[in-house]
Amino acid sequence: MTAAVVMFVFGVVTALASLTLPIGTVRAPGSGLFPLALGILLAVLSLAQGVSVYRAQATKARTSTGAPVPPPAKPLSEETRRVLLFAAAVAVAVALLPVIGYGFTILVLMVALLRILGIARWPVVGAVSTATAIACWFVFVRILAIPLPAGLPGF
Amino acid sequence: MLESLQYLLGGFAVAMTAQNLLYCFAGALVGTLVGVLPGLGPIAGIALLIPATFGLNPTSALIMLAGIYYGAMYGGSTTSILMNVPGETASVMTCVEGHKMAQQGRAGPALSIAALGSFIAGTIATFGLVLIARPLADAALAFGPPEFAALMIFAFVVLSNVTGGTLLKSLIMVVVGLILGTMGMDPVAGNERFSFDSAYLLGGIEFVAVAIGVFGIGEVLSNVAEPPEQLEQTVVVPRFRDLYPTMTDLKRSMVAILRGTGIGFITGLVPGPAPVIATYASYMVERRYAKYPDEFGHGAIEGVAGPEAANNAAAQSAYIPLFVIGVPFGPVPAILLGALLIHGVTPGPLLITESPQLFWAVVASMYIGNFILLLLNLPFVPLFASMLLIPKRVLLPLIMAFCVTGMFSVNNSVLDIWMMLVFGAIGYVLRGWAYEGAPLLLGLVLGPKLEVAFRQSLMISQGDFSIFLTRPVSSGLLLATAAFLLLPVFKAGWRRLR
Amino acid sequence: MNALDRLPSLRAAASLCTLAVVAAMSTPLNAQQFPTKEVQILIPYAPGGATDLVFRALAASSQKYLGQAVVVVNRAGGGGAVGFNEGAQAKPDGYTLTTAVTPLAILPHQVKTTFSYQNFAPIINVVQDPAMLQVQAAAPWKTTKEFVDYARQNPNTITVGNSGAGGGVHLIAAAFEHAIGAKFNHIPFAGGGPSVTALLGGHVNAVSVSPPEGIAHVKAGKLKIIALFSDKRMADFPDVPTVREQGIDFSMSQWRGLAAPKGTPPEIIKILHDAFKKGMEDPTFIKSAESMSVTLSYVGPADFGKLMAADHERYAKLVAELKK
Repeated sequence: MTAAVVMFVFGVVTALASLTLPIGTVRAPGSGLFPLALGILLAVLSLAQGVSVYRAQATKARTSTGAPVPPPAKPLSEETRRVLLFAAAVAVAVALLPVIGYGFTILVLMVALLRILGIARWPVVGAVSTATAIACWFVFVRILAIPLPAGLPGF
Repeated sequence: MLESLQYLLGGFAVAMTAQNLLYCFAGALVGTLVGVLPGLGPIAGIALLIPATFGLNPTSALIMLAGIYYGAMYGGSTTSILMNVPGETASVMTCVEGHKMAQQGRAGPALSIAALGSFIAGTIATFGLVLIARPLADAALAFGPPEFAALMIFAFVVLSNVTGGTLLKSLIMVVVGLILGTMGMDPVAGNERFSFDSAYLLGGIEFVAVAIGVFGIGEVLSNVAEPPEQLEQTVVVPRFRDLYPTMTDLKRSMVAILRGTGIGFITGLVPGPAPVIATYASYMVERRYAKYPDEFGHGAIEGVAGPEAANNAAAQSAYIPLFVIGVPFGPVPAILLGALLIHGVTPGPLLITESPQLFWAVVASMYIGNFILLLLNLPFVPLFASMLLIPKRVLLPLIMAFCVTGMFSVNNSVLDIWMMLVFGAIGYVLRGWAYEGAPLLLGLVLGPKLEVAFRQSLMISQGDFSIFLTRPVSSGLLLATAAFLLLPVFKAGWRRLR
Repeated sequence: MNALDRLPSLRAAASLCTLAVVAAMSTPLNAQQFPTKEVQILIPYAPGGATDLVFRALAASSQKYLGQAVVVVNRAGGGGAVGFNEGAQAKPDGYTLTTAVTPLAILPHQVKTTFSYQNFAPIINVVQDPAMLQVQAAAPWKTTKEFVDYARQNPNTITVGNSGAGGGVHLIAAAFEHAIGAKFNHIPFAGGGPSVTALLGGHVNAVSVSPPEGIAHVKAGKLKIIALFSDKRMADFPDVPTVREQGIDFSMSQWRGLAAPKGTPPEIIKILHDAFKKGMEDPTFIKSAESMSVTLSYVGPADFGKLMAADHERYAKLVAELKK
């Protein structure tokens, strides 16, 4: 249901935003006509999806007696927290990329992600991360000559 | 025709010299390496290596570049199968069944079938290139904006529900993709559209960022969300008994490979995003005519064999318009054209008559290149498959590092990495809602082409819609679309009447 | 399960690697004569286009004169806006150069940009490609005059393909119709290649292009040049007269050169200019330029700056005209 609502809102926002563009006519379409049509189409489709989900839920509730009550909103589970932490670590590493350069970024990224995924022993984390960073740097920067950001350290 | 075969033999003689074999091998090897990195596809690979070919004679240089091309096309399937990371448009469909196979411990057969399918498709397509190149190339020119618009409409109607999920959800994803595709500079009017005054967004949304994000990063994040004891595991314990496909696998794949070759060869001749249409269409056909329909979505080998063959056949037949009429129909042939020009070779009708030796040597080297790729890749299958022996808690960070690097290499842009991460988050959420990525990518890739072709047609006809109906190819395609839509309705009506 | 940290050899390897990292970091940064490291050329387009090919060849032929590697970096997007934006904001130390091409004088009038030619210090112009209209060889018009007359009598009927709405060749075609008092039906395509393909297939009547686009097909006898906008005739086609020779006061070309961010010291500009000039005169570069059918045209820094400024003004008027 949440999905249908999100899609519906996206469709409506697109349609509204495309109204600020020249629409043109059907015979000579402007920039806005195509997105306007798409926005409306998306809104209609997601409305249909929402209705069908609602109906399915309604029948389910009727047929299954003692239906499982929707699970109560629980506080952030361990798993959700890990995903958020993981994503945040990647974002921080990418933000650092132009500053600390590619080699160190991979190092930082690997250390953070390995720790978040629960590898406790520092020697393992250090060895795997350093090896990955050096291997990546060697293959991508030296051999394939991809102009990855060098940052302050210069590599 | 016989003459062509004679020339082809002469071409083999040139391509088989020790020196040219070496360049072919070097090209295939470098191409595979480049292709394995998500994002660094054939275009970047060829561009990077054009300067390296400056010192070579044109024939050797072209042979090497052709090797890079095939190698890179093939390399893309490896990451798709092992990590669910499609490096380029053509690999999206390989992810769908290929990665499922890997999760069941069948990464080996998936990788082998991909290599074998590519090889067989390449072989057949090379002969197609020799025998029927000329008339096909001229026919391809008949594709103008109205035909193109009709083809896109046909593709959307037929391919929207490619993975066979809920139709409504697939359609929603296609439309979301279409909307994302409208961002950036309006290609027809030249003004800004949904770019929020950002120079970066003016260029539109980078396709590879969405592909790697929704598939690769989304997959990584949903693995991270698993309970801790799962993370200590490997992705799956590959069964080393069956690293290579069984007889049954081969039998099941063969028909799929042949069908994929046919689909790919034809679509490769159409200007535009041939690989997308070819691979989606091949997957669709395999799913529809599957002997074991239940396996689709859970690792059906036909779903790897067909699209991989289609992909390679399309790559091969895309050479036809380039060599025969000197017109590049896609980005890869375009950069090959550039490389040819640097070497003083002008492709076109004059090439075959003026320097037949070079032309046929390159055709022969394509075939040899495909063969070398097979030899090169089959022994690597155990090595690649054993990558899945790494515990997930180490493998997932490695994949992240890989995706970040690969994404950057596409346009050398850090902003692309951010875009990829945003779509990774979106992909993770969509997974939770059971919405699929493949239709989204279809809309994103084909949408802008549809809009442009539609508007170009109307500009040419000055607003007269009959342009779509008075031309044989476009009206034929539109009729086929209508038939596809109405057939189920008629069938139902017929049943009711009886 | 963590077998890794039990292996002493791995630990040793790790510490060795750390050492290597430290050693690599401590490379001395002597303030020697420019250049002390590789020089980058930003190309604001995807690989494979004319600009990309020309400057890849120039980079290859110039590095021996510069004494350092010259690396080509593609930063495509936004019709060039992404690359120009980054090039303008690069450190003005002479290590990050940008290809200055005609769209640099057009984009600022069309979309909101943070740059214009004024954010760059010109180094050298390398190529000046004549613009032209091509039609199918079998087209009913034999001469420029026949074409122009037909266009005047039948406004809006001749479809003219271009490589992108508001791009250089679109504006040039628009300027030409203005000059002859006619009206074309402009059809934008996604690049010069697709527009030429459409002409070959007969989907448009003419295309507005710059070499090398379409040249191979002209040589093969499939297309012909119906209106040539350069000052001089082309070396490849000495029989094709320019429009000016035929009494139409009109000439336009597209330039491709190199520029550094504004504020780059003049001594560094001079070193770069001298090296690229020698690279331009290198036989290997001349040969690749010939095979690509691009017209080499050396212009020094001062005159290149004037050229950019003049076209900036010219395109400002054209874009305003087109928006009306």
